[in-house]
Amino acid sequence: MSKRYLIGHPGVGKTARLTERLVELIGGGVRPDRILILVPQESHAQRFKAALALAREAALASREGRRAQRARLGQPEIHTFFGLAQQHVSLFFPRIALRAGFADPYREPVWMNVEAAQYLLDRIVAPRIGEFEHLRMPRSRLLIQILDDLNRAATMGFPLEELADRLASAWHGVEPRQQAYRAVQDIALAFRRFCLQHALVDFSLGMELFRAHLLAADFYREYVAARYRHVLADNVEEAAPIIHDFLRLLLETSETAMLAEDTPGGFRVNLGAAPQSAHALRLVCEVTPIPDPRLQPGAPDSPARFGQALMRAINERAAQRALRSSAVEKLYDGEAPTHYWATMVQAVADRIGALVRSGVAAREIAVVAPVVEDVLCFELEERLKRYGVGAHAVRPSRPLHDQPLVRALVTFARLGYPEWAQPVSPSELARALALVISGLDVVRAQLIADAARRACGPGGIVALPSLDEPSLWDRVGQPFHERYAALRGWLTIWAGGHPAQGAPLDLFWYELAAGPMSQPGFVFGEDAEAREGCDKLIASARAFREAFEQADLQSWPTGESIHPPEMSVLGLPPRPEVAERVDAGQAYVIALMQNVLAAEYAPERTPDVPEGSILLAPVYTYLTGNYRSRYQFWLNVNALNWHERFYQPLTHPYVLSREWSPGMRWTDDDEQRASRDLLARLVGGLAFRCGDKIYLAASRLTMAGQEESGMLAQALRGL
Amino acid sequence: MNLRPQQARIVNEYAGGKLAVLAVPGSGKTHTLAALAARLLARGMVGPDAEVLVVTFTNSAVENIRARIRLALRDLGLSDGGFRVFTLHSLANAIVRERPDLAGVTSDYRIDDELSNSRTMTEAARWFMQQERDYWRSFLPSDLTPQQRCRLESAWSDDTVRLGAEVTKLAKHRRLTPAAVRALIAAREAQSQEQGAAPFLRIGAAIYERYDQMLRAGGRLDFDDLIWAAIRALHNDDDFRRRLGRRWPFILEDEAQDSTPLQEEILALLSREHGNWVRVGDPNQAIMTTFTASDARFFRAFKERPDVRAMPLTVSGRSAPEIIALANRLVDWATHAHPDPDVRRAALSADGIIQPTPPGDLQPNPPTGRIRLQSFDDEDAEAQKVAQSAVRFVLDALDRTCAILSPTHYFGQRIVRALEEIQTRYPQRKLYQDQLRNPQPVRDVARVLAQAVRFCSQPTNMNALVDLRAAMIEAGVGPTGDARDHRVKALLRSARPERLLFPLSDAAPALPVGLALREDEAREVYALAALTARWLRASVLPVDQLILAIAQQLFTRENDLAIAHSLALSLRRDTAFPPDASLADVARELDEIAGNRQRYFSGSLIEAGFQPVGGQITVTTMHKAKGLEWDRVYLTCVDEVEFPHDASGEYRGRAWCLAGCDPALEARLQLEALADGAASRADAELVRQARIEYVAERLRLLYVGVTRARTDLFISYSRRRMERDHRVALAVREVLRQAG
Repeated sequence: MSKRYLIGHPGVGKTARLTERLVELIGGGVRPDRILILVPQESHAQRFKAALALAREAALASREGRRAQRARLGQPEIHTFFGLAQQHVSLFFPRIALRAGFADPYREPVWMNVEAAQYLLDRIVAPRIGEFEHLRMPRSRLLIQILDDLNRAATMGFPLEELADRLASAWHGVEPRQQAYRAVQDIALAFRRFCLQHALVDFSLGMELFRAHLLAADFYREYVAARYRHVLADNVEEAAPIIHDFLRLLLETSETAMLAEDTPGGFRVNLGAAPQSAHALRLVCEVTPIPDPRLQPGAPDSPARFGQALMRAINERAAQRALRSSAVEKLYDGEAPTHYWATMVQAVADRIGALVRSGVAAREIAVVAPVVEDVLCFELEERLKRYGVGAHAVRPSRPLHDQPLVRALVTFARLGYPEWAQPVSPSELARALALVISGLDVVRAQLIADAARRACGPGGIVALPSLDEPSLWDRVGQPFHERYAALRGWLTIWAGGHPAQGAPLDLFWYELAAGPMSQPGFVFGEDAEAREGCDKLIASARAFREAFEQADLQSWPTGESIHPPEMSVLGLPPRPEVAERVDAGQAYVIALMQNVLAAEYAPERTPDVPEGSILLAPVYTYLTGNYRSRYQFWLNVNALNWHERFYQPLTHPYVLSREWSPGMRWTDDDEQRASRDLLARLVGGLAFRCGDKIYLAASRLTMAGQEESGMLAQALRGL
Repeated sequence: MNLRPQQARIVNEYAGGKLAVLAVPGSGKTHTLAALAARLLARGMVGPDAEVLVVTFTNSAVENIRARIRLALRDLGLSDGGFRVFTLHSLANAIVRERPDLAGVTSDYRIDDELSNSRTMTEAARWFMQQERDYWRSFLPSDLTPQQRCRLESAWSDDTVRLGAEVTKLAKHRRLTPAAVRALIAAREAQSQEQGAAPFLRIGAAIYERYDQMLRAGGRLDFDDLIWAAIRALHNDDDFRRRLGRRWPFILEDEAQDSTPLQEEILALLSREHGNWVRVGDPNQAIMTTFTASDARFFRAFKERPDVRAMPLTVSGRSAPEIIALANRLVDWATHAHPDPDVRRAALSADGIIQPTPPGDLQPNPPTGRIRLQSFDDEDAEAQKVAQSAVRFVLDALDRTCAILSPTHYFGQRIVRALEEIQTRYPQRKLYQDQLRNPQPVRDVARVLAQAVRFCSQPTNMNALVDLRAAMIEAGVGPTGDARDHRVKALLRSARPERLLFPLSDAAPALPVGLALREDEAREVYALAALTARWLRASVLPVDQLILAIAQQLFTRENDLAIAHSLALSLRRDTAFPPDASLADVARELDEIAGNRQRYFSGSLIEAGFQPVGGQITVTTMHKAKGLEWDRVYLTCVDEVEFPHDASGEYRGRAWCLAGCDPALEARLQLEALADGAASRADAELVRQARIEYVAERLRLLYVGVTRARTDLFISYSRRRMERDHRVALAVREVLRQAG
């Protein structure tokens, strides 16, 4: 066996085989640094690292000196698909920069995060917004679609110049869209030119460099051939076609390879995941299907078995097909006359409570829904408190603007940078204090904020005043006095001192988090999740600033780039005058509060669920995070958004894929088939990741008091 | 199901094709539609993957008709399902939602309700006035005292908002984008070589453009956009349209007279293949129109089509014979004897002659009724006397319903003031409901939410908690208690909020000692504390999510939840800068809705789930009374100004600040003419046409008013109003004269 391709359901032991293979390789005396391990996301690397540690121990303990010696020789490389591409692009940048069209090939490039890319794109889009008159979407959505198109072109490997034609050929509506597609293409190309001009690399350019200037280059093939003799790759169905191209190269050049494909899979749609293009890899490998023991005849009833039947029911449109399973339970009565959303949440909380009381560990329970709103998190968390159970929500795609912690940190930033002249209102201050000071509730925080307002007068709160009336702290509590004073002291010093040094916003947040906020009595000392949220914000602001500085956006000619007054309508109030000179920090805060910045595309790591908490996640996040649970609760199974993809008129996940032949039309039948296929994969993906039981929850009325009945509900009718 | 012969004929005979049912007021059209839907299912005419699609005009009708169909299905021994009930807007939403890309929007598009809609329109108009300050001012006389200027500018600014709103609405109904409107104006200008022609249309078009930009930037659709978007989606993909056609092989449409041509087109597109489309309506009640977008003639035109069969529903058990006779005489006079031949053709339809029920009917007409015409010296007297008379009526008859209907919001307020005064003498009883602007359910929900959000914005203010408690008790939600329990109030006022809501384990007692509370009182206080503490914890969330969290715990009625949800969405601020509008602002806005100072909702009362209450007077406008009935109805201000007969005479709506011209009307007519591609009609003719339609619509409004009454109909007017002499409306004088 030299090139092997494993296929199987989640949970049948593919990753285990890969790690065994790793142990075997090292045990067999292979130099670890000749091994390449590819995984879809960073947290996935854990299992390989653990296996590696064991293998090395074993090898070191073995008597054969040669093997032990070899085992000491370096580490295997563990990369995410895109992480590797990015690293190699950086590594070879000097060699490819000129040919790739960078204006200054000797200038070190800055990798842009999504936020910076969006901000930059926003300034390019602004003067051309009128070209989208027939379409209606928030500006941030328009930006996301253009970035999506850029990314798709790069990860699928077609030139940006084809973008408009591809979209146009699939469109067959009566109203013209060509102009809008053309505008998107022009803007995308202008963005690309700007990046090349200023040595900025966004995700799409990075991938384009990888495809066009590394994969195709002889020197790179030689490098790869020499460097990686053994390859292990997990979840190849989650990779984009250009990564599949890279894998094909590895299959040609390496001695041995073992690839694994999860089926059903391909959930990283945003990053161009394309299970079909992975299929081509099978042709050059020995394919080993791994049977699912849960589906063998005679195996006990299981969620997996149910999942398989449900997938079939969805794919065959067999609404009447009887689904029988003891591993599934409905938490609703189909005939019940009224059933509110809140009642559904209560029913879920009660059942979780019962499970936990019967001895199930909370973290073995997951609640999934197509969309996880703030109010769902809040309500579930509140209702679970009664059972002493926490709810750990993982929601990477939530806009920064909507995250309370981000808002609180922005509030403090406004106090730290008085020259922005953005006074803070008492209720903002109260909420910010309540969020960062542990144990401080909103009422006590409001008492402090009220006192601050009185001390500051009518101009609003631009700096925290010292509040020393004993009566206040008698009511609020002495410990909070010290914390307030500590926070205030720090902010006062920062606000007084930094302008001279021009300290950037990310540094402000970094110092705030490392300084007063890490002290006992503040949440960062105790709440890892909050600290992580803050770290993300700091990283985002820093990457944003680096891009901002690299492009010298501060002095960018404003004539054409700043929105003319009649275009300044992201929302109701006209955009504040950004035209003059704002620094990166202020620009970041403005963009963030205007919701121009969306959330991250796909997280590199998915957090572990803490002890004593259940996991609450959107379906996609659960699947891409590759979580497993003994018990799953599926919420709102009636809802339409179980099968609806996110529709966007200016991009298209199917038309902009490799399987799509240019010139074909995308019809409503295609759309229906795609929805069905997607839903089947989602429910299969969930069910195969569930150990003991699936609970289905639904309410007749949605949160908005409306009735819905989607494709999933139809398929479940046979239950 | 019990059906009258006419109803049974429709239900039994209809098996497909296009059908127009002309239904007079009170003839049981909803009942008939529900029976028809059930019958189609019973006959197995709808496949397993398909549904009978029922479209109705109002949200509350959706619930009502759903329940009736379920009942009818049960009668027939069938299981629930196989049908779907939508309003036209929710149908359009369902279509767009399925394929937003075809409609040119993304999946997260948002629908603007009337509140955010009017807010946006006002802002768009203000922006224009600011941008073009001098031009805008040039329409006013130049020789003004500062005081006069201030007054005139304020009036002109209101008119500018209206101008923008009407041009926007018309443009959307003609499917003209802002760019298309601009192009039309430019072409006209180039052709006539006349600079600055059609100034009001230009202003309206500029506001439309700005308004549209604002909506587009937020990914928002107003109600007209939503309909338009659905049509675009259906046009853009025939397969999609056909698939929906297969899903809904029968379309039953209620209140068809109110459908605009755009709305009609959605249903026409959906039924294009199968052609099974039943439209039930009463062209004589087409009053939802402020201009030509929806009009009695569209439904009439449908009825006249050669491929359409027509069946009547003319038997009504609602009103007493005297009132039926009056309504019929009104139709007769308007169609045969009206002095203006054009009005005769446009106003009412002679098909709508009401027949009383035959003997043995399950819903027989009340045996006798009373009609009275009263004239008063002036409007003060009219408001006073009508209010007094209505109060006497409800004091005597606790179980009977009564309404005072006014053609204008303004006069309705005078009635309310008169009632307010009388109310002080009856502290024990609620005598009336002010339903002029926002219907009670909306206001109740808004009031509770306002107090809840206000408390969240100032959690240290215990008076806010006391107010919240009172609002909750009044609305019958949350922990129960007695609003007048002064001990609980006093206790809440003296409590330290931090101790009551967020007690620390080691700290002082949650409640001040010294007030011995009864057990139920203590339970209430702690329940209230737990509930509000929870909201306070949620108050770090974005404001729409906070409102939703509050609503999920307070409301259980479907309608209330829907209202709370739409309030939450319309109060959502996603683009404000500096960061967020404070909760206090949101509370203030909710207050304005609750207090009727801000219009949230302009549909009919029944749309918001309103039902008349026995022993209470409903005060509302004639427009909003549609679909409802009361035992006694007062129709006020029935004079020649409100209900003119002369299409060449003066009529309301003129901008007094601009010395008598009507910017909105002029702009609309100009746009109509441009869109029709013609200077084919002279301006004077256009103006006359608009006035005929106005006169006709007012006659239909009168007809709606008359047919709201079951037994007593009191018609009144003032001989002197708004500093002018008035006569009773000619229509009323004539039909009453005939009756002797």
